[in-house]
Amino acid sequence: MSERVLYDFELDANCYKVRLALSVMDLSFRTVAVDAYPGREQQKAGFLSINPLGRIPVLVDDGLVIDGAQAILAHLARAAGHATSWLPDAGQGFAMTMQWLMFAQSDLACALTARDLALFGTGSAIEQQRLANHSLQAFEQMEDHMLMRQAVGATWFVAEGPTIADLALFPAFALARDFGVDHEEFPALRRWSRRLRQLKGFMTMPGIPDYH
Amino acid sequence: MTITNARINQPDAVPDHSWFPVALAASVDAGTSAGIRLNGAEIAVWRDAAGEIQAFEDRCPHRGMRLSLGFVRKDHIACLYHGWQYDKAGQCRYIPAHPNLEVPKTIAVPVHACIEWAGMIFIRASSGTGEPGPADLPAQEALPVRSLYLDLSLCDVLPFLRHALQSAIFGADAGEIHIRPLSPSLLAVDLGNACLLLGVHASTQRRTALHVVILGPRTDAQLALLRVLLSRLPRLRRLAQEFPPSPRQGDPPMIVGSGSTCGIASTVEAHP
Repeated sequence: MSERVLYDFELDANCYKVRLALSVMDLSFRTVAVDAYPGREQQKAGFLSINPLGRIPVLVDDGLVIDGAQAILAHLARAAGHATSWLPDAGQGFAMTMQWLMFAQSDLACALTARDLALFGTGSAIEQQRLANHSLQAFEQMEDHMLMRQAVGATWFVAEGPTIADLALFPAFALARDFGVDHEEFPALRRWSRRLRQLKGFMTMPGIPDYH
Repeated sequence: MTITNARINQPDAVPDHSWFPVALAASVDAGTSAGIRLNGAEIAVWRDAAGEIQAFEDRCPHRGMRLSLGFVRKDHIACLYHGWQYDKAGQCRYIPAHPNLEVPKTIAVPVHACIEWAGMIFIRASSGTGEPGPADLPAQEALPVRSLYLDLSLCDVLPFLRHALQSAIFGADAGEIHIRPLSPSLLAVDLGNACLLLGVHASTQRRTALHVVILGPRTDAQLALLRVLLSRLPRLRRLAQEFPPSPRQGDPPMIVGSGSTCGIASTVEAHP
């Protein structure tokens, strides 16, 4: 019997991304808590034997070790089955899902760093402002995209239904208030977030209000 | 009778200087809330389940939590922290920890009068309850485009748009466009075959929103214009950051608005 194990830190946005995906895809898993803060356990010998890259999230699925939220999401989408539409098989749907996954990985990294600094760090005010500005620009790109989608009657980033692109983009936006970026300027993303919250199996993490 | 193109779909009357546009009406769905800022003051704009628009000071009197993060229950808004519920007059009606308590009248949130007109939500900036909206204002049909937030002070908006709108959005061959202030916070943009209305909204001193609608009934031409605007309006963000442009030799001096002369309302009464 195969087993899925997520090496997890409750307050980490990328770990939340994976918990959210497992939950909305209704896949079984168990978590192992990693003391990322303040213990930095992910960089100590015990954990490095699991993931030599020294970071979380890590998913171990039936012996296969996968590092990083975006790769884990793609893996889970396939585990959920080809009958589900979390990762479109081909064509525009596949290409655009990959594009927004990469966007979540690269362009939104500054948002998660800004949040880590605001919550746990001692970064300079200038550095925090720079990261917040970059995050704002990334959210503006997302808002522009969703306004175009809205104009053609679409409600999700890529396809008719939600994909792993939506799941990958959600945490950074939902947690933006943690580093001082408000949702005022993003009405299309507000509407998209509300839809995402209504998915069966949706779950929150600390910093994402439970009611809306 | 001839209708001059430049005045196509013009409104007969507009909200007066005491009303501030703060969002597109389509941006706040029934049963939801949104936090907005008006000159830095935080305001919770929300619609009850029946779709009626409300605007409260964005602060629960209990622990100061932002009400815009709370949730709408029928015609009440409830705070995220402890579930205190407020009715449309701002009066606290229910405290879950004390379900049998008749809530004292003194527990209330300051309320702003608000109206919807031309696809935008306007609020009166002064706090107080029950000030009526302008009942005689005729309804104005409009197709919502988007809200766009720019790194501009309120006073720079009009000179900026006169500088950037034609070249960045419509191009030289679109014919000359005209930007006319209709009220302290409303600009009409005459495009010849259509008219845009821009609600100008100072979110903070250095961040100004344009709430953009196309006036008139929904037609195929309007929907085509909507798509053009959605794809091109984002260009204004970078141009706004570079405004005012550094003058080149031979350019006439650019006059940038300052305080009292900019023609766009900039005063919001201080909140109590």
